[in-house]
Amino acid sequence: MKRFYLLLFLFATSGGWAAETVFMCVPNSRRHRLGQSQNPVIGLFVSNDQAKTWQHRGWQESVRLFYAEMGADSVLWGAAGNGVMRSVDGGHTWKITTDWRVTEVLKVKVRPDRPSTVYAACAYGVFRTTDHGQNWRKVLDRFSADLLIDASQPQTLLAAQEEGISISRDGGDSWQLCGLSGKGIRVLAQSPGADKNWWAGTEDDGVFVSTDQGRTWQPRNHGLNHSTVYAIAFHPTDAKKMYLGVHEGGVYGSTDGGATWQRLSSGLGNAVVHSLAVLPSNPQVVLAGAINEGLFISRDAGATWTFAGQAESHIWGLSVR
Amino acid sequence: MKKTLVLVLILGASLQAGDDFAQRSRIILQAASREPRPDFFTLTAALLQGHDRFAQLDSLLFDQRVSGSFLSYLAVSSYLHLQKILPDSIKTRIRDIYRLRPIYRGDTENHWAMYYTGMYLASQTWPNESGERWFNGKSSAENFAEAEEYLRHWFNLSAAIGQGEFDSPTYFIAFVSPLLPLYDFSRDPAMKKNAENMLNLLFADFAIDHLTGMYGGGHSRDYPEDIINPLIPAATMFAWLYFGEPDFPPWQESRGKLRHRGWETVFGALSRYRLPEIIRCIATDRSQPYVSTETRRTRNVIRFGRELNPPVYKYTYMTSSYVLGSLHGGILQPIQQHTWDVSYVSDQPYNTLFTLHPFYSGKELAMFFPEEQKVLADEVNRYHLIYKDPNKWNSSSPYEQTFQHKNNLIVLYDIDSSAQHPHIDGFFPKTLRQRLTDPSGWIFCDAGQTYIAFYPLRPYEWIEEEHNWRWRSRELKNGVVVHVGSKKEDRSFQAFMKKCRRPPEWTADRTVQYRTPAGDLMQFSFNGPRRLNGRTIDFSEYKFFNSPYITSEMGSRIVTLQYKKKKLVLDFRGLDEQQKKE
Repeated sequence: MKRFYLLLFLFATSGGWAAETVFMCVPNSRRHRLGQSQNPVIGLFVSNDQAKTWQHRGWQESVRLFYAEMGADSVLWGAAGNGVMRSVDGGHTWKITTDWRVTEVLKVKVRPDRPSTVYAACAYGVFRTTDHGQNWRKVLDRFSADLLIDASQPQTLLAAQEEGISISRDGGDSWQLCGLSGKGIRVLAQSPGADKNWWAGTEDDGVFVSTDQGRTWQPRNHGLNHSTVYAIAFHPTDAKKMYLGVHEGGVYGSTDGGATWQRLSSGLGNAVVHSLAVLPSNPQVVLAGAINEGLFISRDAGATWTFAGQAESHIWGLSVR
Repeated sequence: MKKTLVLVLILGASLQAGDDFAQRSRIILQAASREPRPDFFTLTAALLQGHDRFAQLDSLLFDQRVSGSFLSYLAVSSYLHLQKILPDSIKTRIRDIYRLRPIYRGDTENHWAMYYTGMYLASQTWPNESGERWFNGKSSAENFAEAEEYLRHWFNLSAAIGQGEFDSPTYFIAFVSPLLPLYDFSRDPAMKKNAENMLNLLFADFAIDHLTGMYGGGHSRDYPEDIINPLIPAATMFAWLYFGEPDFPPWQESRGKLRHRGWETVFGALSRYRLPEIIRCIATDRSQPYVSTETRRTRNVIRFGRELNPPVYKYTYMTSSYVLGSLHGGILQPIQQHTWDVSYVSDQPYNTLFTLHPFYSGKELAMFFPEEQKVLADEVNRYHLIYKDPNKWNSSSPYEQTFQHKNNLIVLYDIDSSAQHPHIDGFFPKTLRQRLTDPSGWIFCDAGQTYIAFYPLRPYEWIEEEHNWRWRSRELKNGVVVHVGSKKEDRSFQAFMKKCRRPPEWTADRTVQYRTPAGDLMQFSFNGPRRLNGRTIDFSEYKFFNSPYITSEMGSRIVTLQYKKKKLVLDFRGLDEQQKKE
């Protein structure tokens, strides 16, 4: 443990991170297959220049890295097939912090106010560590695709499950069904600014919003012609501007807080968009990670898109620090 | 004097069996070492036979074609077999695999068995090293502890409620092959004993369904080529090595090329593990027919189900001529399930007959894999077209259920009209001697020593294909009744047909009532009870194993093998004590 903090200190004091860093996770590529002698590099890619260039970090073969997120203490966490990975040097080297019980991890979320507490959503439920990954404990059973830690009340946690949304108001100790019972929840997000609404993207039922801390959920599907939603992203300061990544429909955008949606797929076609990121340093820049089709970038708030690399790859997760 | 004579005869017989095994092991090592394709098995065999193929092994260590959980156990197992003759440079290169190559652990039972066996042996081989020396950042001690814990968990689960990937003619080798080096090289006597127990359990599980090299009955998962030609799966190689059947080396066989040309048996040929004679006897004595019932579990159901591992009920009827076996039906495994067949002894290939509904849905895949169902469906559309092929020969289906009693089987289908492939198919090999459609509605098949009567409940058509006739019926509410006999039981094909002609009844409420030639009354409707002579079959009464040779209660973790006066008890309860000590 001492070594962990020493490495962290050294990294943090050695220049650390650029003002804005984007993490892109590529768990798989059509060109990366078992049985091939030459495979392209997959895994984690990092950009410090508004997604103009990317550097690969860490393992070059697959452990199926689905998502990476950096905590306030600059520790980088990865959600992977092999478990929850932790890096204290920005992704150059990793340690898998979980054991055989935690597998096929799809999302990892770091508590913003207490970065030693991390949650992992995986095929077998939600796991929690409160000590930087030294110990993990299962806190919620059943398949969980995504997690949301409420920005105002970090003790409040939502889990996207196959039969609706589960909520914990005590940091994961206890849970109850919160809404959208019977719906397959794919993604959860919270709008920025003052309203801090909760959003949920579903399989086949579009998007829903809760403006009352999960007591009720309302559909917001006007103009949304693709009903399976995998990704939700917001303008960093204007909560009325938001984006959805959908199955075989590219990206939808809204400028009225989700009241109406317009398809923004010029250059994207019918891509399966699984991940989205809006760059805080320049919110006109939006990234869309597609399944099987790689990365796309828009520099005009989604009006047009261009291919940005990783051909024939799954861009499962995008996050910005 | 008598006692001495008996002792000499027994010793002679066991020496003979041991000699046979040693001889087959030598043949395997020689054949594998001549195999031009370099892999960890063939190169291990070749190097131990004195061939200079070090350069090929060196190249193999850079080859990304071997990766993930396969690499995990293969590299260290070859290292341990070859450590006395490997040059230091190759030893270092193998060690570096576990430092430099990220090893994907995989997402299913066979992956985890291979991965953790490999990590157990690797961390035992290179102890006291820090996390920087391992790809996953864990120290030798951490990797060893995790692998040991997982393996014990897996042994416990497999002995209590069975494997999820049970009775697979292909994946059998993915469990046996890593367990053999675990047995050979584990320094912990307790782990060595666990590996031996688990090998015995796996071989016993195979033995009870085994008929002259074939892995009979229903299978959790398998490949279409292996399903339609039951002497070509990889498990047949192990049957030849350990059971001495079939009576020819399978890789030389002209009845069908081995689909899987792997040489996993090399690790068996090199191993100090010896199959208990009782298991070989169970695998090969077919002097009396018997019924075997088993309870197993599904692969982990991560979505769309209430239980992680719902039970699977398996029924097998074994004779010296054929084996008829079935799983109770429904979705038990993704993609590769093989629900029932009758496979028979023959000098011809494609010696099997079965039906299936070729089901496919993204939701089925999402039950077992973590990606979204539409993403999984899209993957299938792009890369795995066989899964949605309307002509595929392996499939689970929610619209298929079975009811078996000895050599009689009722298979019912109730296919939703929205199903992607609304038809059922049957595999009838062209190698049958005769296939007759009787005016009674029965289809009679003469397979040489085995006779098969097949009664379709609804209209059908025949489609000719390369190796078989495809029996196809497009009726959604449907089913077949099967009765199997043999020359030994029925004397002649004519006599067999004569006794079978009475057709089953299909009542207005779609209950099949079938009076078997032996006089038993079977009644079955889709989603309804299975009644035998008026008594409802209660699957909850099924044991883990129940047959004349192997018995075990669910959850007991004690499996008792009995053959004549031989007895072997596989007791996995000691795993608790091992874990308590840690």
